[in-house]
Amino acid sequence: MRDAEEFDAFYAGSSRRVLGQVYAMTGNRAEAEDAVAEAYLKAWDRWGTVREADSPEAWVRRVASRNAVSAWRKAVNRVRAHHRDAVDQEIEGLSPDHVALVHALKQIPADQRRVIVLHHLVGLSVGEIAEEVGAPTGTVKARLARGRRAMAAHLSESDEYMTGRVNHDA
Amino acid sequence: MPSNDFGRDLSALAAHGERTGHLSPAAAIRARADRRRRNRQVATGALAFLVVGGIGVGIAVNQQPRKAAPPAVTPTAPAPSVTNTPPAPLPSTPSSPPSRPPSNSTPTSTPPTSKPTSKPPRTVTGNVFAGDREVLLLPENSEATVALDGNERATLSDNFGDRALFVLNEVSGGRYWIQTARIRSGGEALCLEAGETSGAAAPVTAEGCDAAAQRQLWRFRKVGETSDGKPKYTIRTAGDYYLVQDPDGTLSGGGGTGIVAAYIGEGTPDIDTPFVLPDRGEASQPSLD
Repeated sequence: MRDAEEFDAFYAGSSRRVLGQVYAMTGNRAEAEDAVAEAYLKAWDRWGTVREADSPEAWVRRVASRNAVSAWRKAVNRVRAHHRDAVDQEIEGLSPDHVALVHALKQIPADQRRVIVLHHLVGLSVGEIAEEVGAPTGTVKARLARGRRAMAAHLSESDEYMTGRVNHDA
Repeated sequence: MPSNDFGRDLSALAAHGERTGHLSPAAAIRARADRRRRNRQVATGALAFLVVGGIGVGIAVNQQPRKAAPPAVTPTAPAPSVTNTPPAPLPSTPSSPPSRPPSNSTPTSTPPTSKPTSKPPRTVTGNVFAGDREVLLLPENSEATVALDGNERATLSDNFGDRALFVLNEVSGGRYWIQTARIRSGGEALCLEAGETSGAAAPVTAEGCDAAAQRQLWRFRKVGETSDGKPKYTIRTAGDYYLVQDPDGTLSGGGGTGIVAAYIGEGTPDIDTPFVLPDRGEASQPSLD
């Protein structure tokens, strides 16, 4: 019973935040919801291990990101045709600037999206990202640089959005 | 873009997702995980039983050569059908709870007439109750079909894609799982389940399959044919909750998804929905047997 209470408290304190982060990675609310729900389901399934992790929230985010990437790849392969409709439904309620941001994020590879979100949204350092995604720091830096460059290109096509804006150092 | 801060824009985007996203309560997440774990255990136990049974049968056959005929592996396994064999009329109350994984048997009590095999061959024209066909659940005279939304709720949708495809898998005695054909959660198919309610109508959601969950076990009763000769069925759980279309939200009290499980008993207005089950081809879901 104590496990359940502990898990519920963890869920209540972290799930919305993780949902927002995964949403930023996918740009699709339904996919983010599915991926996050699945990640917490797995977390409860092995709660004894997850609770002892350095950061249970990072564990859940990592699993949810993998789920989302997997769902994303399947979606791209299977329903490319009607994906545009889903995006249009998904971005209701967003400002035009954020719509452009979602579209730009969707144009870059999932690995790059993930590190961009982890760095710029979650606030992790390159070293922390490397640990979370299981890649060398050099790879993380390269993904960040390429991702920013690609996003800048996509955003500048539709707007003046990114001109000179994304030259943050990792 | 007025803002000059990429991180801030991402934060605003994430905040939008946090505000507008839907998450199940923690208790529901735990319940689903627990159900899935039980389901895995049931499947593993059944597999072990089959393996041990198969070894036993093998030993018996070796010790008793040249008997008149080998025993049927599953005594209820029928010969493969070449048409959409309708289910048998609703049997009386089930005598025991389901305790085995789904078989590929068709919903008929006809005994085997050909040589027994452990698994019937796939049919050419398709028997939608064989557990190996993808089907739609299409309300009669409706242009929309039953499909899952992003929150795994059954809805009426005009998108006849992956989220609208199901596989009917018999669990026992004419009771079927309605499993997702393409949608997976943790690599596993989900099962349509009538929600719990004290009222007349309950939502229908896709949950981890659980052979012990009565609200996931559906019966199909043939109630006639459409004008073009296709069989149509009512679909209900053991508790007389029928799968019913509710496009206006009348039964769900507004805000529904277009599909509910509605209680229909003595004196209830005639609100049942006949469904046509168009065959959409061979199922690709991994077989459990």
